[in-house]
Amino acid sequence: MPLLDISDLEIVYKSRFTRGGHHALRGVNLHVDRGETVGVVGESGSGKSTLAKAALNLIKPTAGSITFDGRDLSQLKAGTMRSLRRRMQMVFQDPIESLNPRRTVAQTLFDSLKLTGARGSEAADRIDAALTQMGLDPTLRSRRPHELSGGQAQRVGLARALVLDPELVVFDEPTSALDVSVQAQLLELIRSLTEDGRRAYVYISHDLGTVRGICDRVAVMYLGEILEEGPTKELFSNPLHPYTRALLSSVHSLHGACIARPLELSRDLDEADASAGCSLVPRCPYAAPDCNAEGRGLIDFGGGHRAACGRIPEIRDD
Amino acid sequence: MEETTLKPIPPINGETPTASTDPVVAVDARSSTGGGTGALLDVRDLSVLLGKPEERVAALSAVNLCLAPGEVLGVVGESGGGKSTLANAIVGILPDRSLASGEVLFEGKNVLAMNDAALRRHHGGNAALCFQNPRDALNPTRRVGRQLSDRLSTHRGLRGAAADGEALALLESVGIRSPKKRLRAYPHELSGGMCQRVMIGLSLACAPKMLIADEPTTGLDVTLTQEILALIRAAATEQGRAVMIISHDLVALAASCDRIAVLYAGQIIEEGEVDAVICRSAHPYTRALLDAVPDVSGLPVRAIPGTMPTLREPPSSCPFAPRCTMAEERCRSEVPPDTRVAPAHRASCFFAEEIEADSHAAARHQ
Repeated sequence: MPLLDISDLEIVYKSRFTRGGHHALRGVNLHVDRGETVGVVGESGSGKSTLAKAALNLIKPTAGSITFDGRDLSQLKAGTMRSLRRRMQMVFQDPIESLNPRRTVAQTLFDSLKLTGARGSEAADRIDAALTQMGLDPTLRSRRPHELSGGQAQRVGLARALVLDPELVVFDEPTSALDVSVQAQLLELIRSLTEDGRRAYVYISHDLGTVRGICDRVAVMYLGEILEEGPTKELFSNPLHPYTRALLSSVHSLHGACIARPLELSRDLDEADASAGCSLVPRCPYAAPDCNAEGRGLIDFGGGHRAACGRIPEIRDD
Repeated sequence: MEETTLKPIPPINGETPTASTDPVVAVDARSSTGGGTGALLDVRDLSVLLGKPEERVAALSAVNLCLAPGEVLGVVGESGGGKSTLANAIVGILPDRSLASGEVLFEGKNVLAMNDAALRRHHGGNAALCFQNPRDALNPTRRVGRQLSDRLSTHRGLRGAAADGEALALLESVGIRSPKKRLRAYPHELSGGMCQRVMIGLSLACAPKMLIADEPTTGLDVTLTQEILALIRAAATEQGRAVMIISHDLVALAASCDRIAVLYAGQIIEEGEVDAVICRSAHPYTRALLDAVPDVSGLPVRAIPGTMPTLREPPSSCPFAPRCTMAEERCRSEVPPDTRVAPAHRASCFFAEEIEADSHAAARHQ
């Protein structure tokens, strides 16, 4: 049984501009096992962060269910949910903004530790251990966020999540605000964390390069739907869905690796494209009248590789 | 390699070094690898000190750079490397308290010596800066169309319908769909990509001879990044402007520039054609930077240990030495010479030639 199981998740935000609300997620299915790192990639507005928040029950689903370790999160009482919180943690996008500016590093970590009931010298030891594990000098514990560099702040963010020894950690674009060299240091750290094989990780990013280096499995999102999902190596070397191909084609590689079968979409992303049929239709060079019909969903192509495009058998070798 | 007796380049007094004593590798520090005599921009020994006298920071030290019309130069480096200070110096908007020495020659005239009236003509008309973070750089209380026509009326004397027409044409030229509708939009009503397009349109409004884009793709999606860079590159290839793109993203620069200059702690530590810098890097920092980029080809990233120093005064040794795996004693006591490893490729490292040969071999091996 997967640790996290998201099924048919729909999330609709109230909106003044869109009648019936803004559909941030439209029927998302995703499961994450222990010891596995699942990447979620997509452009801004594709619903990546909404999915991350929903996975931790920070947003109530409009429809569908989220199961953590066999328990449906939407059915839980507030107290039970709170005791589950220490088992699921999140690392946020903006390292400095996501820390409380008025609390020192030690206070921030201690606030987390309170959930476990740790007190006094035991808590202090665990805080120092967590800071050291994240490659920080424990003397930083009395600093406040504005006294930290971006890289240090993000390490504190990691320490805050991991000091509780959670079973599930969700990273929401943890390195997008950092410089290349600092980003590389953090990626090495995250990679070493994910290799321990005990926890389940969800890694959200728009940077395909980092996802490739860290994740076992990748899901590609577009306008609130997962369009393709598969083992990282397979997905990068043999992308099936036209959108995944376009996404990979838009990335240049310094090391000369060429993306197989590049593809260009016809115009910019437009949220109005979301429809009952395939939402890529207005941009897709392979769009056919059938693509507007309802009721697609992911089609299995073997080996855990699934894609939501009915025309793949025809366009595969194009 | 034998010991050289080369003196460090005098960093701040603007003097050019005396003829070098090294028989093989050292070159005149004033030489940039590009531009040549047809250069539009010629930066010579530019040093900039920022901040109050008691807490001075050497933001740029003895920077030499040339740029010709129609050419795209990428400037790459980490935060705090001096990228934005370089852009500000070229456009002539350095902060009041800063101390600049050397020359920034634009069509032969020194920007650093210009009076206010000349600077006003220079900034925008000669060299336009496309600011980082467009959503913050645009005025949130004025419609996009008004911001465009404001600039057109100030700099080009266009009024009323003529200004409106030109504003519409500008938005169209930067690839905004339904430009008529967008003229009436406020910046918060536009997406990040659209704001960046408007920003580029604004910088091109005065038909500048040079366009500087400061981190134009930071915060944008991968799919948009390429389109925005193509748009900026077109300003050089199709409109014949000199273009400088500042970024910390080497991958983005590699695909859209002709030449790349690598800035580290205020110094250009390597400069050359894109292929030369990427495939035959001659400086350990450039190689470390390349290794740190997560790549879709799945190669593991290698972080650069340590952090970039903030220099209080122009360096008296190699600024990268504390983080460099190849550093020797003399790297910590002498400023490495600007070494020309190929006709249009220079790097300031004692081992530039060896590293270049090694990088080349490694690249071919791949």
